[in-house]
Amino acid sequence: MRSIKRLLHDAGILIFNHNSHIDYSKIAEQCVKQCRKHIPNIPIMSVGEKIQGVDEHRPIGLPLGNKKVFGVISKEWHNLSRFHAYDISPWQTTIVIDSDYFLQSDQIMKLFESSQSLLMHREWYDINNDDVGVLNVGKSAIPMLWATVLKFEKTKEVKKFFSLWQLVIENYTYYAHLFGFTPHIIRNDYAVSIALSQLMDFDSVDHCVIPWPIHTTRDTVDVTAIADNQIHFQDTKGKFIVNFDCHILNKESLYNACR
Amino acid sequence: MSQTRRFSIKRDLSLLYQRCEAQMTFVYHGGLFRSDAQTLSYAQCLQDGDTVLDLNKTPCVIESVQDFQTTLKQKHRQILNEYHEEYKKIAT
Repeated sequence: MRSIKRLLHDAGILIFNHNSHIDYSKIAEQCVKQCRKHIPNIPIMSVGEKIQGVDEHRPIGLPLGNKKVFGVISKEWHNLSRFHAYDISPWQTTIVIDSDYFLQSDQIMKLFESSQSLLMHREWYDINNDDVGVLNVGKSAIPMLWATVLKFEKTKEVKKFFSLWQLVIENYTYYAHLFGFTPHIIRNDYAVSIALSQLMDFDSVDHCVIPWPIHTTRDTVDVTAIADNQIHFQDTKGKFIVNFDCHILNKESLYNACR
Repeated sequence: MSQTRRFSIKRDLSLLYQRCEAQMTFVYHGGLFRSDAQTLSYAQCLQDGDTVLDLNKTPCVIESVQDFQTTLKQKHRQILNEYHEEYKKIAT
């Protein structure tokens, strides 16, 4: 039996789930299973459409419409409600993860144990090209932070960060022109990076950076199978297995592997 | 050995290295540290009550250097042993 006290007052995982042309609930369900396997004592809450197997659920309506390019086709995508995480989370310490971020270890526990009140990835490891790098926000010199895994604690500063995040989303076209990126597809990664830079007066954000890269597979890599401790992939160069926490960009093949 | 096999080994070794790199990070009294050779060396110079900077440049007081060193050595040994074992499996 899970502790309700822990569920309400301590720490937990928050997953936003809105279906689009893909049944994201299937992917999210597998994501929850991976969390259960590797961090069994941490409660999980779904937001949006309910995910099977979670401890808590908060229904919210569809957020502002957005688009994302899947393969070569632009499709409807609902990813613009995550700035509500601060208000929605019942915990003092929360980690918001994308449903396409699959745990294969308990590495994420280090974020719960850290005393930093806000943490996100800045470096990314491109599994295809065996390359670790940092992207910038459009043509600006602001380093991009990934909104895929976001650890936060409820403090006044963090609350301000979430307000700024919302403001950036609401004024996205303005920031797109200012920093030189496309206004047509709203990226939370850009929004959190700009919001945090604003919060820090465009000074260093080093203290908010998770000190290992986010491991990511590109759209060109297919997921062929998912097990508790490993994910099987295939690309043009062959098959391979990943046994660490992984952010998977090829949603269609991920969905097929989760069915 | 075929080119495909060589590539596969190289990729598996890179993935293993990345996994171990991430695992090197550990939390000590709320601070994030790396259990690498540099930190191991640095820990030898510390005294009880010294302040060190963690990976996020946040100051962290090390109350007991012995405890810090023990944790550090354990993590370092555990990860490198695992790396060695997995490396052998891939490379042979």
